[in-house]
Amino acid sequence: MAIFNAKDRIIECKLVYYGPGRCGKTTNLEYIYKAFHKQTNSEMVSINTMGDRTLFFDFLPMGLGKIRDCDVKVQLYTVPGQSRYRSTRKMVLKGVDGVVFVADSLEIRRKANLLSLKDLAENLKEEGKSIFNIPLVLQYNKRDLEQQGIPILPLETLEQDLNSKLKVPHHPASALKGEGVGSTLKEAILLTLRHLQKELHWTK
Amino acid sequence: MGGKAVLTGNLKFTSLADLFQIIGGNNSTGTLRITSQYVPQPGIVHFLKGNPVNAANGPLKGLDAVYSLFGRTEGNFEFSEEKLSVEHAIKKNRMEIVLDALRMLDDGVIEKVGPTTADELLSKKGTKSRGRTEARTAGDQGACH
Repeated sequence: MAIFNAKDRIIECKLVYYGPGRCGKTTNLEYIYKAFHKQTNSEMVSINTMGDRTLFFDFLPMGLGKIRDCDVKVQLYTVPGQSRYRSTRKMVLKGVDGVVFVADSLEIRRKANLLSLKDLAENLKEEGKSIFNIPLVLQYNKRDLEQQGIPILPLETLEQDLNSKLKVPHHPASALKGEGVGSTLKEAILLTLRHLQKELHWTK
Repeated sequence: MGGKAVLTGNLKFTSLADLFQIIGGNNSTGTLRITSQYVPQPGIVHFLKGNPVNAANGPLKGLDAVYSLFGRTEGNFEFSEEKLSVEHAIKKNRMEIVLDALRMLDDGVIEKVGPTTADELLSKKGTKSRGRTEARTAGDQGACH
């Protein structure tokens, strides 16, 4: 649930990047932090969680205007996938307003994507949320690897595997090159704010 | 010291990670005291404009004390708004502290202080999760200093 900071007139919402290990969650956030540096007002916090990193920073989306005379601040997080990091995951997913699920396009990671999505659904359930209700965007990352002759899953297969029931927006991406990163983020923020608007009966 | 308590509650409902974010979001200045039946002395964290600047927990001071307090999952807290006259021993970013502390808790680096669940007892091999007896020993050691 977004936090409404009446004192500073800021609406803070939380957007979490989820996905299997080494799918490119941190690459997404690192790219956003670098490319949109003017829209961040905090340092990027990076924690070394075994096999993956946990990142956090505040993002101030420009050009969104104000909602109810309040500025919007988005807290961006990645979450460690490994089951042992229960406390971290719980804290990161607590009060989450929107999720970007980063899927790995590599053929050999097909099962890992499915398991991670299932894991996300379970973890959201623990927080009293449903994967079918929360604002969610899928990103099919590492599309550029095809050019290097590395076998990747066709978009249709990824859609069939991950999105046949969810039917949420999806974006092909190459996070290392920054392709698709901005569009994924933009859509996720938009969906999240629309959802909040509906939930809290805000009018434009 | 001895300012007015403006926020009190139970750690079971509002965790230390939540408290750091509430106090931080409000840019509050004052002292957070954490009491637990498993430890004789209260843990203390001083905040300046929402950022932790110093702490004490038994023999531990500064950042180490903050980290150790994340091991307390049960107990009461009280935040008092007051002027501070403490050394600024902690320079680390507030969210970095929270995320790092939770990682250490999950990695078993920070000792959990509280009741031990059956699950924890059974999986105790290789973890540093501490139960009541060990926590009390740790607290007693703290009291000796």
